[in-house]
Amino acid sequence: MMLFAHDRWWVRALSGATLLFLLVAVVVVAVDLFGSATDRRIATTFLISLVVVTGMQTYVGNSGILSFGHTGFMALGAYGSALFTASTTIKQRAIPDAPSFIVDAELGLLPATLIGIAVAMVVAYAIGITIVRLAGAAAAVATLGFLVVVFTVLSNTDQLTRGAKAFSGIPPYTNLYTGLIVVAITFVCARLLRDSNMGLCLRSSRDDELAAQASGVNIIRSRMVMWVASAGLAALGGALYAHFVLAILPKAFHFHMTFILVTMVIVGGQSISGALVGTASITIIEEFLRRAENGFSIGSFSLDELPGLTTIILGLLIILTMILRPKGVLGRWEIDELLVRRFKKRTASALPRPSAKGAWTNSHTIGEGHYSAKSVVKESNQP
Amino acid sequence: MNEVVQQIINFLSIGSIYALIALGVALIFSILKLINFAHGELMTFAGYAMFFFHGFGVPWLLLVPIAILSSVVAAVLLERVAYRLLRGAQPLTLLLTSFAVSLILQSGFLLAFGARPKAIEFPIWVDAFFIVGDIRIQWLDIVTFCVTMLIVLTLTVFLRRSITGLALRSAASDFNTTKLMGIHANRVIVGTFVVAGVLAGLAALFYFASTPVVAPKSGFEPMLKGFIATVIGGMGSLVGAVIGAFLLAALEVFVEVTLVGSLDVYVDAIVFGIAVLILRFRPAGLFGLRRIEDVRA
Repeated sequence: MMLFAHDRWWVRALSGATLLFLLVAVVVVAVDLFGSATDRRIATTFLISLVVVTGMQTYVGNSGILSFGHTGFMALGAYGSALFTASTTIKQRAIPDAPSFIVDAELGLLPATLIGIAVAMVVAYAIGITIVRLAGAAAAVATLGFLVVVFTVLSNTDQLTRGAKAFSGIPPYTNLYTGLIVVAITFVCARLLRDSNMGLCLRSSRDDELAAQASGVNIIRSRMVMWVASAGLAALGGALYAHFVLAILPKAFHFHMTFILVTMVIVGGQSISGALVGTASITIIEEFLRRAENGFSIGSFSLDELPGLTTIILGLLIILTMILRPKGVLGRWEIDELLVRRFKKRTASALPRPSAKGAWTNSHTIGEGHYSAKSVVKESNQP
Repeated sequence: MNEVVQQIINFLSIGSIYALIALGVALIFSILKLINFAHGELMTFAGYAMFFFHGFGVPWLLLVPIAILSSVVAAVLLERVAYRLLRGAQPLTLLLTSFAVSLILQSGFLLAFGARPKAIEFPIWVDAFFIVGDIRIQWLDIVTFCVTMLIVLTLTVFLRRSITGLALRSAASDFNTTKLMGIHANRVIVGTFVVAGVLAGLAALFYFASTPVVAPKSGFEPMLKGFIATVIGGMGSLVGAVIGAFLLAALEVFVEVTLVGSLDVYVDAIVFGIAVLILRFRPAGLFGLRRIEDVRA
């Protein structure tokens, strides 16, 4: 508890990320020990979605601007990693016309993934020059346009991606434990980004753009940094995905997956804990619906088109979330921040009640930048 | 020369369809700050209505009003069932709601009609053409363009001269003050959706006349084009929407003509790329004014 309310932001960030990771790890290890093969598959797809959703959250959650484009970055990461890890013999057969540095390359998982991430981040920077200047509806439309562009390019560049056909022969590196490692990396990156100065600037612009600008926040710059970083995390998730499904095709990274990922982002809330809550609940709901519908099937990612019922229910879930909790289940809070709030409330009620003014100065000396005046006043008014 | 004239006619016809869609999107956005993803589904709905009633042998002269009426009814129902619950919510909340509504409708079509595209049998006179010099001109293109211009004109007169139009325009610039002036909020909003429904129905007629199959996802592509046109033109500006639509169509035709051979599959990618480039220099669109609310939103 001391660590969650530590004076230094990075201690808070790291301990918060650790708490979340431990929650995930306990469940995943339990599934590995006691679950069936199907359960393990579901858990792996859950980890993959979690990486991508946390990556999306890094931009969407902190900036309050929706993006439909992250599935595109995921595709870039997947193809980048897949093309550089697949064996030369497979590539000579499947994509003989590709440039020789791709056909002859047979890299390990790490360098290949880094290439995928780098490609995604460069593309993110290039389109980011426009995207970060847009907000609201215009950003949504522009990122949707970007998604269509990635899809068109991938499914027509036959000599590189086999076009609309599947690219297979990707080595199987993804399992529950590589998944967990990647989730750990993602949580740490995402949380450090969120709690850093840059992240704080971005979140301030989300809550009040004019006030943030008036306080000297460079909104465009902080958006750009987080946009590129979140594209990198999405690409990381894409690489993980490619080494799990072993055969990728452009259609897999299109609207259906975008819809599922966006639903996860929205339902959870604007924080990393929100990403976890959203991903977990949607994965479970989707799996449940799928079983109810098809009798039996595996995985949250399917190349087939989903029958309409699942989409209808997930759509209704979005509308319900919008009506009941427009900011998602957890809103803008991380779980550890909520714990600290809880704890403070309890200690505050045990002590003699401080005046509202006292509470103000108190919270300022602790240096908790993310406490709004409203919540402090509310706390001090608790009986 | 003939090629150029042919392409210009092509451009006017595509641009008109985009303009009808973009106008509907922009109209709803200007008043409700809602970007209506389900606008494409209104078109799909009209498409299925045409398919359905044509199956009953309803003559074409009746099918035209039926198509328009069906998308109007769908638009009003949409407002009543979904959007009214969230009136006055944040723009992002509205956006996500309409996104969800659009997907729910798509799945509804899927459940009701199946994934296989349904062919709409248009009468032969849709393909009628006449020849000037060496140029083959399709009547449909002429009609599309003329009707669109007529609609733009009617809408302009309606918005500028009628009391309802005045209410709509004042609601677009400041809804709260408009309500304080004694204008019925529901009436303004339902009116907006009726007009948007008419526009979607007309767009559906012309769109399906040139691509006569309807599938659950038919509405997506025209909707996306309409959106891009609206964003280029400036969100919420009706003039901008029309100009953005014709600009988008011009880009599309130009890229299609100049690209050679195997590159023409990238037309959409290139056009969107240029659109994004325009937004780089005018983030609020060509005719969008940056207002304080926009900065905050």
